[in-house]
This record gives sequence, C-alpha cells and structure tokens, in this order.
Amino acid sequence: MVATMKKSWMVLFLLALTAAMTGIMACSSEPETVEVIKEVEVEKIVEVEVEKEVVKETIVFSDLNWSSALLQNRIAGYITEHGYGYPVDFLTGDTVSLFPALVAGDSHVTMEIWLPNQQDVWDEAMVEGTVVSVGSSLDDNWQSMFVIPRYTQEANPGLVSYTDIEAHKDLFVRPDSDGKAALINCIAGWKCEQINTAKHELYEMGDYVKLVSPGSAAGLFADLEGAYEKGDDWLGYIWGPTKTAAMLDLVVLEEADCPPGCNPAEGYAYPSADVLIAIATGLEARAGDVVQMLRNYDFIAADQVAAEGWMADNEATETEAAINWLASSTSWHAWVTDEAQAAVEAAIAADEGLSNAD
Amino acid sequence: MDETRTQPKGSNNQEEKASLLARLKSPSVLAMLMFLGAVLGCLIMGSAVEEGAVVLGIAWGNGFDMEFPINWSRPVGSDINEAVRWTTREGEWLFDNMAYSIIMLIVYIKKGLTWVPWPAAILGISLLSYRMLGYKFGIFTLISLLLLAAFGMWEKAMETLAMIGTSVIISVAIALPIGIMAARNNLLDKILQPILDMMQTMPSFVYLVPAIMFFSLGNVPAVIATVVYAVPPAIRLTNLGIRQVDPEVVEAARSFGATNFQVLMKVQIPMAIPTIMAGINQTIMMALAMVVIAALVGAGGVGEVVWRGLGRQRPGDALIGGVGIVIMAVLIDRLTQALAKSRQEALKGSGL
Repeated sequence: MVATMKKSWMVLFLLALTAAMTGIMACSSEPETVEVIKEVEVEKIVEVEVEKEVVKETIVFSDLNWSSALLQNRIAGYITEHGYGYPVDFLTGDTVSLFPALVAGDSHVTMEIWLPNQQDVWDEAMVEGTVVSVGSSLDDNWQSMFVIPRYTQEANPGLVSYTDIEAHKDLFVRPDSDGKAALINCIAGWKCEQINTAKHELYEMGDYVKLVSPGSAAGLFADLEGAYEKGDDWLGYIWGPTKTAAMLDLVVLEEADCPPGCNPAEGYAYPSADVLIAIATGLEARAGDVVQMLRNYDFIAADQVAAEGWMADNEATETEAAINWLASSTSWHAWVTDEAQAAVEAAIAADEGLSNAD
Repeated sequence: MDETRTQPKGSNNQEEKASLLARLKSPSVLAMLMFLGAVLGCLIMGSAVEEGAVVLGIAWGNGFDMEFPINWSRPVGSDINEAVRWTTREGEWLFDNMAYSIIMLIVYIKKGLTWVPWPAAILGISLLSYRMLGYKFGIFTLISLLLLAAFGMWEKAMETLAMIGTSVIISVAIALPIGIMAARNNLLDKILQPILDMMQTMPSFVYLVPAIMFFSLGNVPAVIATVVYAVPPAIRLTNLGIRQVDPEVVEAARSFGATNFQVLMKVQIPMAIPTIMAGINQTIMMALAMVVIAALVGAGGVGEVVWRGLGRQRPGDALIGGVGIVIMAVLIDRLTQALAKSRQEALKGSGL
C-alpha cells in the first residue's frame, strides 16, 4: 500500500519536474544571430557605417531521386558552399514529396522541374507566387514512347518508325499483355502518361499495343535493364539524360517532328522538355549572389551523359563526379563571379568535398 | 441493524479519503494525467524549441566528429550489382517459368472474378455477410461495395483481389508445411526466426528491383513481394498453434496407438486450427498492406489509384483509393474471421 502510494506521487512529481524544465528552457535567454550595425554620428560631416555581419544560413537543395538531379545538385551545391560560402544541405525525396517542400520553404532550390510532366502543379504554384523560376538546364534532353534496344532494330531492320510496330508486334508480346505488344508507359501522374495514352488512341494502336504502367521510374528502368541483360526485345517510354539511357544502346523509332509550339499529343514526337530551376521565394532576398549564379547556370545534357559514363567507369559517387566535372570543365566559369571561381578552384585543389553529401 | 456497516462511524472520513486517493492512483487517471502532461509539455516545447535547441547545442557542443576508417559500401555494393546482373542473365529459364505460372494463376482468378457481373457479386457478398455476421454488417457490406463501384474502382478492386488471392494461396501453401515442420523440429524453428524477421523488416524495394529485372514488370514482382511480406505471420502462428496443443491430448492420442502422422493430422492440426486461421487472416491483412507497393511495380489495381493521385499531387484522389483498400480489408477480415469461427463451432459440435 505504501509502495504504490509512493509510486503515484513519484509519477506526479516527475510530471511536474518535466513541466518545470520545459518552462525554464522556454524562458531562458536565447543567443540569437547578432547584427552589428554601428552608425556613429559625429559632429563632423562623415557618417561611418560598419558593414552588417550577416550569418549565411544553410541553403537546402531538393535531392530528387534520379541521377541527373543528384549530379546537378552537387555541382551547384559545391559552387554554393565553396564559392559563395553558404552551408549546403540536401533533402532526400522524389517529385511527389519535394515540390510541396519547395513551396513550403523546407527546401530552397530544385534543380530540375521537368515540364510538361509537372505542368499542373507548376502552373498552380506560379499563380500563387510560391516558387520562382530562375533558369533552365539540360536543354538538349529527349524523351520518346517508342524506344527499343539497338539489338532489336539490328535483328529486325524493318523496325524503323512507329508505324512498323504493328508488323513486328510479336517481338514485344508478354504473357500478361493479351497477345498484344507491351509498351511500357510513362510513370502514372506525369503528364507524359496522358500524352502517351492520347497518342496511343490517335495512332489507333489499341488492337496491337497494350500500354503497361510501370508504377515508378525505378520499375521502368529495372524492367528495361532486365530485358537488356537477357537480350529480350523491349518497347517503351524512356527519357534522357538518364543513367540507363547513357549506359544502354537504345534507338528511338521515328515519328513526325514537332514544329515549335506544337502539342505532342496531337501526333508528333516529343520536343525537348523545359527543365526549369526553381527556388523558394525567400531565397533571392538572403542569397542574391547564389541566385544570380543559378540564373547563369547552364548544364547541358551531353555533359550529363559524359559524367554518367565517368561514374560507371570509376564506380564513383555523384559528389566525386561533380568535383571531377568542375575540375575538368570550364563552362561553369561563365556562371560565377571571379572570386567565387577562384575559391572553388582552391577548394578543388585542396581536395575538399561537400560537407553534407558523400 | 445494518450488518454491512463493519466500522464505527468516526472512521468514515478516513475511508472516504482512502477511496479518493485510490481513485486518483488508478491506472486510468494516471494515464490521463500523463497524457495531459505530455500535451502541455509539447505545447511549451513547441514554442521554446528554437531557444531550447540553441541551449542544448551550446551545452553539448558539436560532439565528436570521428569518421569510421573503413567504408566497404562501394566495393560490396558493386559486387552485389554484378551478382544481380549475372543472375538475370543465367536464371532466365527458371524465372520465366515461375513468372508464367504465377501470371496464369492471376489471369484465371481475375477472369473468374470479372466474369461475375457486379450486381450479382455485390448482392452475393452482402448476402454472405448477412448470413455470417448479422443484418447490420450485411447493410454495411452492401453500402461500402456500392460506394466502391460508384467511385469507379470495381474493376480495379477485382484486379487487386486477384493478386492478393494468388499471393495468399502461394503464402499459405508455403507457410503451412514449413510451420508444421518448425513445430516439430526445434532446430528448424531457431533457424527460421531470423529469416522470418528479415522477411518482415527488409524494405520491399530492396528486393523488388532485382525481382523486376528477373521477372519483368507487372503482377509477378508484386506477388513475390507480397508473399515475402505475408508468409512470416502464417508460419509463426502455425508453429505456435501446433506447439500450443495440450500435450495431454497428444499423449492420450498416442496411448490409443496413433502414429505420429495420425497425431498430427487428427489431433494437432484440428486443435490448432483457430490459431492457424488467425495466421491466415494476418497474412491476408499484410497482403492488403502491400497493395500500394504492388502498384509501384506495375501491378495496377486499387494501389494504382492511390499512386496516381499522389503523383498528380491530388491527395483527395489518393484518399479515395485508400478508402477502397480499407473497405476491402475490413470486409475480407470480418468474413474470414467469421468463417474461421463457424469452422471452430462445427468442430466443437463434432464432440472433440
């Protein structure tokens, strides 16, 4: 009886103690970032203003889960950290989770917003003014829904344009595709899925092509890589620059070229997508120099493909590939100020890495 | 006189105080107090967190920044990558056959399910649940199935059901023999424990990507992932059920001259059926939990509704898909439990 009484009083006492400790912490004085502004007004005419000492806050990059975004993040991150002196961090996720993060300000820079895939959410964000576009990258990207391995085309020389699929549909039949050719579609939720489905109807392929939804980019690439290893024939949607497109020998079947301003859903091949760089609205105010660098930023897809090859050959991480690219290429000199360039080159020479990425 | 009063009048206050204190010390009151204290603490912390974090940071400093000298992740990682590619090439004959049989099973089940027109199916299932669970649940079944169809998910629900059904059939076929063997063999039981733990905790995508490379997209990797995730509860509960059969009953059976096999088939398994059915019920629930992951590897079904909604940044659409999965889960759960109970009652009635 006495023991139980002591236990319940002990619990109440602990509760009170916890509440008291949190109260003390809440009320304790907080050391904040100190702004030192001294305006010394003297009888003489001169007013001396000492420069503000502003603490550079961390800039967070959205670490989207595909290789070109990872590489670009690390290139831009290295320049930001060593060239401009801002601490840099990376927020892991995918398109679904990282776009709201950008809107909310949890991440500050997204290096790849692919339009038209994310057109709907992008338009909404533009209307509400929650994100800002500061440029583009990967201008020479490509995508197509009629991608086959080169060995398939070599074994079937008649398979040159999408109209030849009907004659060769038996190559792509799978046990669960109802006797039709299986065409692996774009990922559900991306605009390219709707465009591909519209083209499927427009070209009247319903009788001999079945669209298979892969569910995720990982699934799409795994399916292609598995088929490629086995030497099976494969037909589906692929885009570049991606690791898989760089490593495997793929061929795009011919389609009508897309004149400027056309809508691919009306029967044309995909034009190059706009890949935008987006920043959260607060970033320009506190890191204007980095935003200026991002405006000048222009990383081309050919460099991405070369970097993918380098990474595969050297079994390297994206950070190492980014540093290697910065060391060997000069195209980034045009994006940065001279001091930043010197600082980055010094960091590369000193073998420095990124503090928050491997 | 009042014989219930055993204490003199003066001690009533003591009694009242004691009972009040007893009520204060009761577990539910204490739990409520702790909960309120936690909520209050969180609210205070929430407003204090920035200052608090700075205080903590200054107090603790940056900690020790020591890097571990060895990093094997890359060489081992690329060895495993190479092994997966090798297996993809060399194992083609095996994987294609496995894939074919699984696909055929799913296709037949799906054909069977979609052959029944939806009004007949909805009425049939509602009648079944009315017979087994009473009129309230029958009405609930009718309404929820109609809702499912009204949101355009009937065909997708049948696809998901076909995939789940196939996974459960394969899981039970694997789990029952293994569970029975583990119940009789302690060494096997010990070896199985870590394997089952791994099957339940290893993130599915880790073995899904190689599965896609071996079997190509679609229902097959989904079924494999579901089977891997859903088999452990069935094995564990079968094992438990058989081990928990009263040893005196087993001894009685042996004393009547039953062989080991007869003891297993006629005594142990029938008496373990409630636990085994609980295991199968858990298997079904775990299989339903994998529906969204199945959609990630191209299996379609209700999981695809969820995934598509998320991909288009429309959580409302995803929620509709989620509710569809919940409806299926509740219905299957209740119906299989009722089925298990009715079997149990039938067994009891047979005079065991």
